[in-house]
Parts: sequence; C-alpha cells; structure tokens
Amino acid sequence: MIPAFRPFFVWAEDTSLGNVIRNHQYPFAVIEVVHLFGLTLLLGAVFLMSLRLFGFILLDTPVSKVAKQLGWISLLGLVTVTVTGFSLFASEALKCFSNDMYWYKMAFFFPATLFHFTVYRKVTRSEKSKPFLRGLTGFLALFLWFGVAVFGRAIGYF
Amino acid sequence: MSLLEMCQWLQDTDWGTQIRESIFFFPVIEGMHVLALGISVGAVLWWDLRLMGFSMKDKPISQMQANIFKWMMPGFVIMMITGVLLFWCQAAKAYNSIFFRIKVIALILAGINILYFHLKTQRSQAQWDTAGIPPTSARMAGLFSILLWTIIIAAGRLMAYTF
Repeated sequence: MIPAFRPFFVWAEDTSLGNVIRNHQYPFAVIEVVHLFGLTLLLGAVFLMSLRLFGFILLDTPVSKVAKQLGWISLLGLVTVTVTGFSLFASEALKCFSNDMYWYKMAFFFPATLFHFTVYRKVTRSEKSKPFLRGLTGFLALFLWFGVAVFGRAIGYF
Repeated sequence: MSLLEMCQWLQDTDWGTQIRESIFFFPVIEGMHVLALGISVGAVLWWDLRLMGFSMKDKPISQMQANIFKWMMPGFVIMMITGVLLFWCQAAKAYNSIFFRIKVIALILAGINILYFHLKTQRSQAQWDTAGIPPTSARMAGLFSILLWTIIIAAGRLMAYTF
C-alpha cells in the first residue's frame, strides 16, 4: 500500500463512473464479464506468441509474421481489460486501496504493460533476435500477465 | 432420486463440503479454472479465426491444427477437472441457477459443433486445406465456436452472482 496515492483513490471512487456502477445492480457484473473476455484475448494471444518464441509451434512461420497475426488480438484484449478494469476499480477504489491483492496486481500490471509495448514488441517484431532473448521474452510475458490474472482473481477473496 | 436431490447429495458429500468450505482449495481451484480459460479458449479463438479466414490465411488449416491443438489440450483438461470440482461442491446451487443451465446448454452445443466439424465438414478438408477463406461450412464452425464460448464465459461468470 502506498499511502501517498490515497487522494487518487478517493477521486476515482467519487467519479460519476464509479458512482453509477456502484449504485446499480447490473453494470458491475456485466463489466466483469467483458473484463474476462479481454483477459481471454490477451492471455490467449500472449500464450500463443510465447509458444512461437520458445520455438514450440509454427517453426516455418517467421516470428514477426506470427506477431502481426496475434498483435491485434492482444492489443484488443489489453485495451478491453484496461477500460473495464478501471471502471470496476472506480466503483470500489477505497476497497481496493486497503486490499493487498490489488496492490500486488498493479505491481504486475504496470511492468507487464510497459514490457508489452517495449521489449515484447521489439523482440516479437524482429527476425534477428537470439533464441535465448526470445525465450526469456516469452517467459517474462507469461510470468507478468499470469501474475496480473492471479492477483486479480485474488482481490475478490481478500 | 430427482436430479435436484442428486445435486444436493453431491454437494453434501465430504469432498463437496470440504472444497466449498476450504479457504485454500476453493480459491485455488477457481483461480486455475479462470487461468486455464484464458489460455485454452484464447488459443481456440485463433483457430476459429483461421477457419473463418481472418487470420494466418496462407497457413494450411491442417498445419494450424497440428501446431495449436496439443498446446491447448492441457488447458481444456484443467478447465474440465476444476469445473467438475467447482460444480461438485455447489451442485444444488448450480442446479437452481439459470446461468448454469445456459452454460451447460452452450457447452453441449459447442461439443456438437466440434463433432459435426470433425465428422462431416473435415471429410472434404483436402480440397480446402490451403484455402485462405475456407468454405461456408468451415467458417460457420469457427463462428459458432466463438459465439458459444462467449456465452459459456459470460454465463460462467454470471452464475457466481446468483449464488
């Protein structure tokens, strides 16, 4: 928990988005379903891309080509989880503030997103990267996104 | 014994009670169910998009199948085992949930879709294996798969709100 961030949580809780979701019966459930759709797209695409980076599948298709085919799926997934995730967060920001699992999730989410648009993007688009770098990139991508998912699921239990 | 009584009996077995009341096993089983969903359904989606002619168009369909299937099977097996355990420990609650019923129907339809595709549509695969855009019957199989999995995921998540 980072106490200095508390004003941000107070603000998020008080947004009209947060209020609308909190004060109605259905939006939270519906948004959470869409959040799961996004997770499926993102994890699925990163999983497949990592299999290619490990050299387990589609060996005769260049890495950059697989990345091009999967890139829009993971991007769509990432945009979906972020938009729905922020909406869910706004509806219970102060609950999240005092939930350790939420902080662990964010400790994975921000590095994962940064990694996704930097190293992961570069390595998957290149034909010249070494097998070791490819393997490491695939492993880190899976590790980071799975961490986000595990702690995301855990929020509800704490 | 009626179906509901059977569900109630299942839920009340030692195993069912222990899983339901465990602060460790229940969250772990449910977490694994969701993670396995992400990778296996995510992978099947790519296969569906290939069948519909929207992705990996210059890759023969048989090769896509050979590459993807063995990697998504573990996910599906985990999802099935954890799904059975989750049902086991709250069978009577599930029986009474409209979303669970929708989910079961969608799962059965997804199974029929797969069987029909393998037994009927794929018989002529040699003729369209390399086609960028496969024939309508194959594209429909991909479309149905995506729609049914969408329903399965939504109903599965919404079930938990009625418990």
